[in-house]
Amino acid sequence: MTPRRLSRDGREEARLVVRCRQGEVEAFAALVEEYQDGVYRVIYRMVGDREEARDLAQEAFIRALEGLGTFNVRKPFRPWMCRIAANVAIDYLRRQDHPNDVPLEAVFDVGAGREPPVSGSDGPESAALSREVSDIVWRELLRLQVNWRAAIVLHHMEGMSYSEIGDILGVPRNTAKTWAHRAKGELCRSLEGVI
Amino acid sequence: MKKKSCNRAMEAIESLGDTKHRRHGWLFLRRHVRRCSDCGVYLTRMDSVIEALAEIQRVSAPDELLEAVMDCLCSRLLHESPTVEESSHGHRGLLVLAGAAGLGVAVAIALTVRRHIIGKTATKRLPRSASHESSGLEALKSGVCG
Repeated sequence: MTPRRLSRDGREEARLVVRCRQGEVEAFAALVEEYQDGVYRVIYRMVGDREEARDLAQEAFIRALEGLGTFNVRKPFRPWMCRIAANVAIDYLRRQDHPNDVPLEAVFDVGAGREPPVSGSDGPESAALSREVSDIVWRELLRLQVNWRAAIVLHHMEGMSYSEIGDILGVPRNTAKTWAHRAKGELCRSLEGVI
Repeated sequence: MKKKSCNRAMEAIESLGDTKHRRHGWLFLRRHVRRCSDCGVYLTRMDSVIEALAEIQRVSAPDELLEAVMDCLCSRLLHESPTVEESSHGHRGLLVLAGAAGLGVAVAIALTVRRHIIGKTATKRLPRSASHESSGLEALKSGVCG
């Protein structure tokens, strides 16, 4: 299989990785700086707790550094890093006694990570309904079983393919797809009585 | 008959938001929801779910994350550095002393390195690791603690 050509950014990332392997600390710091938002976002969406997400993001970067020798510099760095972040979050959730408990923060601070509604023709009632739906979906997302949650977050929020998600979760592509579909079905059911 | 077409509609609705959605699937769904209100409601809810998922976006990392990662890295390196002590039984006392001295040096270097990184004051290149393919942590360890 011919390796895909990397974009200019991809080549810059590859150079950073090589420099990092050579022990240049600034290169590692540059990678962290570049990917911190993405890594934090994936983990936060999975665990729903900012403090935990921060600690787990740290863990993800250290894990990435440990595994940097296995990274193929001809491939893009983002999916590789995203995979590590997802695995760190999944490992954390699987270690929890009640991984489907919604963190208190998510109960009281619903929608905190949501983009502000775009002002436009929609009236205040529509905006309120939209906010309510978002809050319910966010809470229910955190109640989903870990695999379903991972599938929906990685596919719908991070744009990963079902094959990539299957690799991360250690299941065939179609299983990852089924999990995402079931998760969406579950989220739909949570809107009964609202819509 | 209706149940069968509803099942097909449910499948089509659940695959909304997937990157590939076949045109004939859309056409079937559009026709179906016109005469099946239950599936129409389900479609509306699914649409809202997908919209809500898209809105839960743009969470930024806390400002101190980079610093926290570098702190975490330093403490890992320092925590792992006294392994020399365990490697030999012969000159245990000497190795403990050497380990303690090495640890002190490592602390000083790690703190300096951290200050340089966070302050972005200068480019600091650490010594190359023995193997080009070794992990980044090993390379940094050999640079910081070696």
